[in-house]
Amino acid sequence: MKPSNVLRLYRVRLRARWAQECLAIIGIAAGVALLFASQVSSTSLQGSVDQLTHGIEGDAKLQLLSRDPHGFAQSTLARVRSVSGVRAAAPILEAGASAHGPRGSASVELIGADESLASLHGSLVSNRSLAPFGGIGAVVLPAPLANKLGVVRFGQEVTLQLAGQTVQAPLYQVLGRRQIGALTASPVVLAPLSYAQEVTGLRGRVTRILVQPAPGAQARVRAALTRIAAGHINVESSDYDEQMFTRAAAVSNQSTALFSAISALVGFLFAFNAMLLTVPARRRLIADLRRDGYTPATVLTVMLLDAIGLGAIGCVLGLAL
Amino acid sequence: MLELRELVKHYPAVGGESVRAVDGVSLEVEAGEMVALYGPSGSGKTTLLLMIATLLAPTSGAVLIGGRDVSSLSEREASAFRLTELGFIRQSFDLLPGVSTIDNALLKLLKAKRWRAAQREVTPLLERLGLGDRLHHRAETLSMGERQRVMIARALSTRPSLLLADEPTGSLDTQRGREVLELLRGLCREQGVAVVLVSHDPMASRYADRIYSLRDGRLSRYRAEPVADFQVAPV
Repeated sequence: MKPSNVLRLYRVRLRARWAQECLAIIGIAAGVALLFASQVSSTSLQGSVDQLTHGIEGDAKLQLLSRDPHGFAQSTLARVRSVSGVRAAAPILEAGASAHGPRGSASVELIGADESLASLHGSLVSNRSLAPFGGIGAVVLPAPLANKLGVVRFGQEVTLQLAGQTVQAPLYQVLGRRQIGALTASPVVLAPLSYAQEVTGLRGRVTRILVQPAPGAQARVRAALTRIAAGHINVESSDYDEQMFTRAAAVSNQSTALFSAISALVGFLFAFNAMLLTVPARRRLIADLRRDGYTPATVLTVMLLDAIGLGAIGCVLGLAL
Repeated sequence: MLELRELVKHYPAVGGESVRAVDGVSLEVEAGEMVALYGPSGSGKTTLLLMIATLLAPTSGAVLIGGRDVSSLSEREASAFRLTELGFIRQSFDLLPGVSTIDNALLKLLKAKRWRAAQREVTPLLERLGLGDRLHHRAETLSMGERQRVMIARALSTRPSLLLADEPTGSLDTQRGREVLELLRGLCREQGVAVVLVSHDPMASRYADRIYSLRDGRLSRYRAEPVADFQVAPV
């Protein structure tokens, strides 16, 4: 049968049973929507963690990681930088905080860093030197967070509640998608290291030191870092946070997979029940075509077009939902 | 035109025994001739037709159309045979629901022709069958007699040399059944088409050149009886 005739045959038959076909499409769409939604919710969480981690660590491969929120002495940084094979090392102080502005509030991660973080080329600071506002107490906010708090103008103050105290920090700059890409979605407050140490009451301390070893020197550098850590600080790969999140999310991922399977099953049952309504008509058509001299290949083509039409429309509708 | 040689069809049955649905049937039908096979339900009529139509392989024997054994054709050859040389009229409820008269009638022409060309070709035939003013009516809006005429149009659309009719009057009242049979006989004579008509309706015998009785798979010449003696049950 000519392809145009196969299409026309599908069209004239579709007119006669649009209600059943719509039911089948809705069934497929519901299944696809459920499946897609559960997958997206799972991958978006993991994706957010990955983005934030990579945005900060850049080219770093190793890190010295504090075992508690009080960190370790910043003087360790000088010993790390003196290790043969270390290309760059950047200190970071991280602390959980609550940020408040005239329009709202949010839980944020305060990240204190100095200009050496830019040498690791992480997307969070690669286009922004931290030096110009290093000496002042000011913060940088991603645009969505700034809008949520209502702190968008230079000098406007954001209130940070952390470490048992409340401080007012003026806004230095708002970073948009053009500057830090997808990281704008991360709830972070970027501040000079010295200022972060001051507001957290952790003067002279850092919570991690990111290390970029020279090519081929990673094992040697790791051994040296282990010696410096002396059992009081953890030596980890730079993607340690991702690994921890993946491990923590394993149970959640299992339930997501189960939900996906149930969603697929529900969608399949929807579509199957709707398709059952059209089975007698399709069976009659198959018998008609075979008795009238059409080959099994032609009959298969006609039925495949039915399936592709239903599947494609159902999937597109499901994704749109 | 059509020759059946000792055609046999066995179906396996429970207990290892087999049912002889068609048991050594031999028959010849000439072009322009109309032969009726008359018999009760389960006598093997439809099985015989399906074997002639190459939709069912015989256990033994041969089906010759124009001297060629069609029972041994490949799947592709058998399909081509059914498409071009054979017309198969089924009961009227076999029409595609929701599809118009003209589109139901042109189904066999779609293999080689575009839709519009197929519509143009089948229109005169539908007009000839009295459906000229019903071309674009949906199948379910037609009367049973009209639906049967659509089936006849579809079967004749490729100008076949052999026409098989399986209970063509099965769902029609006496008047409509008579019209359909007259139409079949007229077309058969006019176009030189060999017709094998299967029915358990005794009225069919009035229009056939020869009548055979099929009982328990065996074919025998039907004893002619006056038409008035038939008891035709109203539908």
